[in-house]
Amino acid sequence: MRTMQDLALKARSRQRTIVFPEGDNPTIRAAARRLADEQLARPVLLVADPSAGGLSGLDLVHPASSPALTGYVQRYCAARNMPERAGRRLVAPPLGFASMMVATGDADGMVAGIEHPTEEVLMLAELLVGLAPDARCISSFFVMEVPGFAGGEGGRIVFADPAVNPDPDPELLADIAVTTARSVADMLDWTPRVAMLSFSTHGSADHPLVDKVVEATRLARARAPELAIDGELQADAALVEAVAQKKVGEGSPVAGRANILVFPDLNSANIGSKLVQRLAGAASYGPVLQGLARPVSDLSRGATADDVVGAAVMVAARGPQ
Amino acid sequence: MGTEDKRVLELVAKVARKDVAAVSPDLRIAEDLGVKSVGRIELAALLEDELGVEIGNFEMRKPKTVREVIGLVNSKL
Repeated sequence: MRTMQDLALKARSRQRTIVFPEGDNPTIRAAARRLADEQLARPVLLVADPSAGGLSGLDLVHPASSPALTGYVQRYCAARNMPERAGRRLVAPPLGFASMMVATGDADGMVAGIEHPTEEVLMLAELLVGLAPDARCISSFFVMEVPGFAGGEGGRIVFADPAVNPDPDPELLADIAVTTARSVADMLDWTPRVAMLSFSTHGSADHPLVDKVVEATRLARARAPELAIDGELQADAALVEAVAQKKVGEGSPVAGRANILVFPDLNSANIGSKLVQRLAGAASYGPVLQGLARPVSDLSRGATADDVVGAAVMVAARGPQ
Repeated sequence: MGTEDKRVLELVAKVARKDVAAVSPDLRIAEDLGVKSVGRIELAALLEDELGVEIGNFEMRKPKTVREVIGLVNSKL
């Protein structure tokens, strides 16, 4: 809960405008009502019928009749050299319209996915919102609060990338590491200490799977020399000071006290996250999407109103003050 | 190759930002032409606009080659 309490404070102080393209969904409506009532954000709901009752005090937008639509279509078509009708097919539906609201700054972020597959949310967000200038892919992370764990960042730790990239090559893995470090500094105000995980620690094993992590570590350090990034490290060497002393020795700013774990692929990140949730009773927050020019959150289709509020708070807590 | 098939080649070339002469049916959409998932949804929008075939964003993930795109379009004409 500590994580959400911290993020809620941040969100409340920022009063971000968050667009919900699935504004006719009852779960989204309930969450939007709470966000507005608790002053966590300014929700904008995209709806089929803005005159529908029960939504007083909320901002409702009907994309097809919005005066902003023509400008969004023109902007997209000019940027991508697309014909107007094809552009309208992409931008006029709620997911495209909401993405353009974010791209233009009419909204600060988007929360979507309760009625759309993840891949569709990601594709439209990448196309219309675009990648951040320093990111090469969309990736994700979980914030884990692990009971009884004294390491990481006061018992909290970040896992990346548990949701998006199945088998990142060294360049993408480096990108995930650097992007996660910057996201965590921005959203959680931590000083990042990034461990690039493997089954080997500093050359203790020789295998192409290890080589991938070694190369990713080299690339990440070259790209962001100001960040504390170490690898390859086994999970125990990343998390436990005594093990780090034995396996790594002195001098690593990360070994034994990592607060960000970058897993080598989606298998390990996803399995690792679920094991920590189920076996250690960890609370997990996310997956938080990152790498886009502005924050977007992808919901599970089984999301509850609490989940939606949490996702919106995490979107609202990101970006410059 | 019919008129619609040639138009598919032209639209694939457009989203791949390549000359149509460089696009042939055997080329792979991602590996050979560099069309990522975002290019696929633009291609779906162009195909719907120009040929009247409705291909969902999700469905457009499936074709691996230009020939498979042509096949998908023909199955809907």
